[in-house]
Amino acid sequence: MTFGIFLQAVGGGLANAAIYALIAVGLTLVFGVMRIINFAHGEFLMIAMYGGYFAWSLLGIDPALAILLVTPLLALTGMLLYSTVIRFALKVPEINQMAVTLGLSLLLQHLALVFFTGDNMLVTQPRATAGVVLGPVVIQVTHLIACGASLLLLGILYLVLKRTDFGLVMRAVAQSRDGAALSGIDISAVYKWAMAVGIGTLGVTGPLLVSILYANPHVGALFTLKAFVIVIVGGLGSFGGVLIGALIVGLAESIAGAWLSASIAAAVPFAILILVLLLRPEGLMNRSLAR
Amino acid sequence: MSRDLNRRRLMQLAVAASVLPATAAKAADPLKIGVLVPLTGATAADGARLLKAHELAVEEINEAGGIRGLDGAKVELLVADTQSKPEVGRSEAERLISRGGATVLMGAWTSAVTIPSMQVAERYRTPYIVTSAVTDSITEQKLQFVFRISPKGSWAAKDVIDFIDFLRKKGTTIDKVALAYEDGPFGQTVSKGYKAGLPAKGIAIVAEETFRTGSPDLSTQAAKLKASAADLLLIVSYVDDESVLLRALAAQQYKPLMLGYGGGHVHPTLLKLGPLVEGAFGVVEWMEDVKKPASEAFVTAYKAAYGDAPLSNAAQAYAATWVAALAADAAASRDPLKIRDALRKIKLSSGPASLLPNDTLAFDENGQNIVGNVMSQVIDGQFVTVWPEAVASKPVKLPH
Repeated sequence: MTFGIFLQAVGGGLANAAIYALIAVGLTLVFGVMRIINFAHGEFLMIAMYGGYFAWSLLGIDPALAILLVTPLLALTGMLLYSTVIRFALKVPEINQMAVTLGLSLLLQHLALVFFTGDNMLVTQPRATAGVVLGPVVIQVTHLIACGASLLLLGILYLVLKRTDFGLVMRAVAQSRDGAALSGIDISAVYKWAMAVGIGTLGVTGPLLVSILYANPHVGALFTLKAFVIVIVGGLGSFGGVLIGALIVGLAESIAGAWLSASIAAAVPFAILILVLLLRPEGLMNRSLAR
Repeated sequence: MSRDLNRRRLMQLAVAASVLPATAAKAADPLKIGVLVPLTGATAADGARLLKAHELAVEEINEAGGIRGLDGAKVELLVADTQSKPEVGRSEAERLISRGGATVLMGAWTSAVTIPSMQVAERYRTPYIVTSAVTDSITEQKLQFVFRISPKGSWAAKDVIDFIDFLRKKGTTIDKVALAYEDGPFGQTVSKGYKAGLPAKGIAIVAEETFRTGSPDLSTQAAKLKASAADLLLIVSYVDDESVLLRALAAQQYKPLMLGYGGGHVHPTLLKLGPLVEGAFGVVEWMEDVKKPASEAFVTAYKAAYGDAPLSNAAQAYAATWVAALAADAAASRDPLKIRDALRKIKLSSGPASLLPNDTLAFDENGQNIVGNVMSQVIDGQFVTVWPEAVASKPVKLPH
C-alpha cells in the first residue's frame, strides 16, 4: 500500500465516518432518551432514500434540496411511530420491545418490496461521477456533500442538545425519567420529540446517500448493523460516543480495506466491537460502570 | 393451503380410482416441480424475473397438453422463497421434497444458496437442475443428482481471452488487465479462471481488488485500480456494486475498457448510468438478440406475457423448466430416479429448451451442460451482442 493509497483510504474513511455518525446519532438519541433499541432504524433510512429518489424522479428536485422535504416527513413519521407503536412498546418487557422493532423492520422491507419492487433505483446526475482532487486523494463530490451536510447537522444537533431548553429537557429525561417527571416535564411529549429528531436525522442522510448508492428495499440493512456497532462502541446514549465510534469504524474499515482484503476489512468493525465489549462494555464515552 | 388441498384431492382420486373399473378415465396427477427462487432479500429483483420465466415455461407446457408421456399430466410449480439466504434455501429444499412431494428441484440463483440446497436434493436422491450458479465445484463433486444448465464460471476466461485476441487483431492495445471482483464464491470462481488463463496468453494482471457484495463505498478500490493503469478492467460482481464501482472509477477519471460478467452486468439497472457504461463489454450466457428460433420465440412470448425484455437468467430458468418436463416425458414416469436417468441421456438441439447459444443442450458425465458465452456491448444505451461474429447483431464499437 503506497502512501497515496493510504491517504485515499483515510480520506474515504473520514467521509464515510461522517455519514455513519449521522445515521447512528438518531439511534443513540432514541436509546438515550427512551431506552428503546430501534432495530428498524435502517428501514427508516431506506424510506428516506426512496423519498429522495422520488423527489428527484417525480418532481425533478435535486436530492440535496429534497432534504428540506424529506426531513420533516421523516420527523412526522417518527412522531407517528411513537404514537402508534412505540408508546405501547415501552410498557412491555425489553425482549418484546426488540421483537416489535425487529418485526417493524421486516414489515417495512417487505412493504417496500411490494410497492417499489426489488430493482435498484439510481439517481443519475452529472455530479454523481465528479471527483474533487486533493493531492493524491480523490473524493467523489456526492461523498463530500454528504460528509459536509452530516458534519453541519451533527453540529446543529450538538448545539440544540447543549444550549437550548429543548435539549436540556431531553438530557434530563435521558438522565432520569422519574426525576424529570417529578420536575413537571411531560415525558410523553419529550419521547415524541426524541423520536421525531432521531428519525428525522435520517431524512438528511437518506437523500444524500441515494445520490451515492441506490434505493432498494434492503439498502437500509447495509447500515443498521454498522450503526449498532458504532453506537455500542461509543456508548449507548452518548452523542460524543457516536462521533468517536464512527471515526474509529469508518477509518479502520477503510484502511483495512486498502491494506488487507475486503473480507478482512468487513470483519474489522466487529473485531473492534468485541474488544470494546470485553474491555469497556459501557462504551468508550460513557462513564465507567465500575463505581 | 393449496398443497393440502392437492394432497386431499390426490387421496380422493386414489380412493375413487381403486373402486372404479381400471378402464375409467381419470385426471392424471400433476408432475410437481419445485422451484427455489429469492423472492425477498438482497437478490429479490432477480428472483422475481426467474419466477416469471419458470411460470412462462409451465404455462406453455400445460397449454400444449401437458406431459404426453404421463397421460397429459400438467406441470405444477411448487415455489419456495429462499429469501436470498443459504440456510433458508436448504430448509425450503427439504420442505419441497419431503412435504411438498416435488420430484424435481431447480434453482436457486446465487451460488451461495444453490450449493446447500442442491446438497439436500442429493441426499434425498431427487434431481436438481442448477439454473444460474456458476461456481465450478458444483459439477466437480461427482454428485449423482445435480445437473447444471449454466456454464462454469471459469469458462468465461476462455471466451474473454478469445475476445481479447479479437480486439487486439482490430488494433486495440490490451497488455495490462486489472480484476475487480466480489469476494464470495461467485467472484472467486470466475476470477480464478481469469487468473489461470490470462498470464498464459502473455496478458499481465496488474491489479486485483476485492470487495464485499453490498459495499456502500468503493473509492479506495477505485484508486488502487487507477494506480495500476490497466488497459482493461474485468469486473465480477452483482449489479448493485457495479453501479457504485463505475461511479467511483469515473470520479477518479479512470476510463479503461471494461468487461463485466453475466447477469450481474447485463442488467437494465446498469443502463441507467448512461454515458458511464457506454461501450462497456459483458460476457454473458445469453442475450435477447441471439439469433436462434427458440430464443426469438422465447423473447416474443416473454414480452407478450410480462411487457419487459427477458435477461440471461430468465432464459436459463426457462430452459431448465422445459428440460425437467421433457425428461419426465422421456422417462414416462414421476419417479425421481427415472427422471434423473432421463436427464443424463437428454439431448436437445431444437425445441423451446434450445434457446441457449450452444448447438445441443445435454449434460455430460458430471451433469454439466457444455455451453459458451456471448459478448455484449453497450451501444447507444442498449445491450447488443457483438461477438462471436456469427451471432452478433451489430459490429463491435472500438474505442478511439
